[in-house]
Amino acid sequence: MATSILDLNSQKHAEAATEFEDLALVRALREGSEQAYECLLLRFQQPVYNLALRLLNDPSDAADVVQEVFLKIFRNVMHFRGQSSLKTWIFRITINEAHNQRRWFFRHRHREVGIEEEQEDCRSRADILADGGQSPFDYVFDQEKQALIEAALARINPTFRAAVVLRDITDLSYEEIAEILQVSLGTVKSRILRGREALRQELEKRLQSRPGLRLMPKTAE
Amino acid sequence: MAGEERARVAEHLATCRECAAHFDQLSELRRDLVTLPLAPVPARLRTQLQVLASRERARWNSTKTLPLAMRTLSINLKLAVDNLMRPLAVPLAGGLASALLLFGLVVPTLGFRPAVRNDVPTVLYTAATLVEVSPVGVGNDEAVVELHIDAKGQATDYSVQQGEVSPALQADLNQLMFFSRFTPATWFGQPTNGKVLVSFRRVRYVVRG
Repeated sequence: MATSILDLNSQKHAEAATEFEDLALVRALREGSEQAYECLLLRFQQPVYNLALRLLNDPSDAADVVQEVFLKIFRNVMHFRGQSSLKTWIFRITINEAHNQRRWFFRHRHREVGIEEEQEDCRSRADILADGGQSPFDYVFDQEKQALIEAALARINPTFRAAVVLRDITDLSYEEIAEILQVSLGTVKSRILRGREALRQELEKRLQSRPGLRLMPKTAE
Repeated sequence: MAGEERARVAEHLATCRECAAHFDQLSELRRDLVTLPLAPVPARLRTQLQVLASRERARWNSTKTLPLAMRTLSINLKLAVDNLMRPLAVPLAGGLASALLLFGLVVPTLGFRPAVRNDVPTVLYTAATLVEVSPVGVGNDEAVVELHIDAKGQATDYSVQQGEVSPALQADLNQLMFFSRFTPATWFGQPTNGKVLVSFRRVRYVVRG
């Protein structure tokens, strides 16, 4: 009991510190401080990119969305009133931009076929060096599982996908998700539940249709 | 979920194998979702974001106060005019120069009304004319004679067009041919043979009263 009270207090302190930090950052942005711009990018470019990527399932579209999001942030930061946290505000912009991008895609680009090879190599040298932490089997298994989950995630309804991504991948609270998606708390819970169920069914369907991929570890005789 | 509800669900899950399996699957799915790796931000995107931030910061700093905003506006306006005029400058100058050149070449060939009045046109035929007539006697004959004038302006022959030539008129005619001065006819500016009509008329003096 005492531990939980301590946890609650520390959580409140952390939230207050974050809020204070956000306000200072916004003030510095309004003053045109170079460090503030850098700090904003450092803090949010990774989560915004990940959210956009999970929602759109396309790295180039996600990159476009991230640029649009930061352009809107820079141009509208003087209108930020602090009614929600900076993170919530930025994620709401990301969700809206991803939605716009998806609509634009279906209107204009769904028949386009790329002829260029993917040249964006995001991996650093550290990523391709030998890693002693995981066996090749575990690595392949994890890769395949992640690929399956990502493919299944891309196939479910975008409305449910946004809720599941914000909750289970971005790790936001229900209240924050409600604020970002601008829906009620009950709707958020319902969307998350239905999203997870849709994801489970999608995974089940995929695994049943591909029995050959069920790898079983076996000791060499 | 509240405590009581949570306990009821846990009790159900303990007895219902199907719901328990479903619950396990969902829990595992949540764990898998949480452990999905973060996709690294592409290096190109990072650079683009830094460029974007730098540009937006410069834009924001240039419009913070009214004098700065006015200065930025004037710079932008000047730049816009420059950008608009620069592509037009070379074609405009070239067009003007070629127009002047063509005008200078074409104008001399155009036919205008000559400035000097009574100028003799050189491109057409001009008839022979009588410049100075010699003194002739006063006779009673009437006739119209055509004189033939050569390229030197001298009368070489005549032919009677109307009336009759009497001896007195013949003498007058000879005197006229020898002692009068003529301008020869011209054809494209060169003297050539021509003709002059001369009319002899009787002069009457009527005295009344």
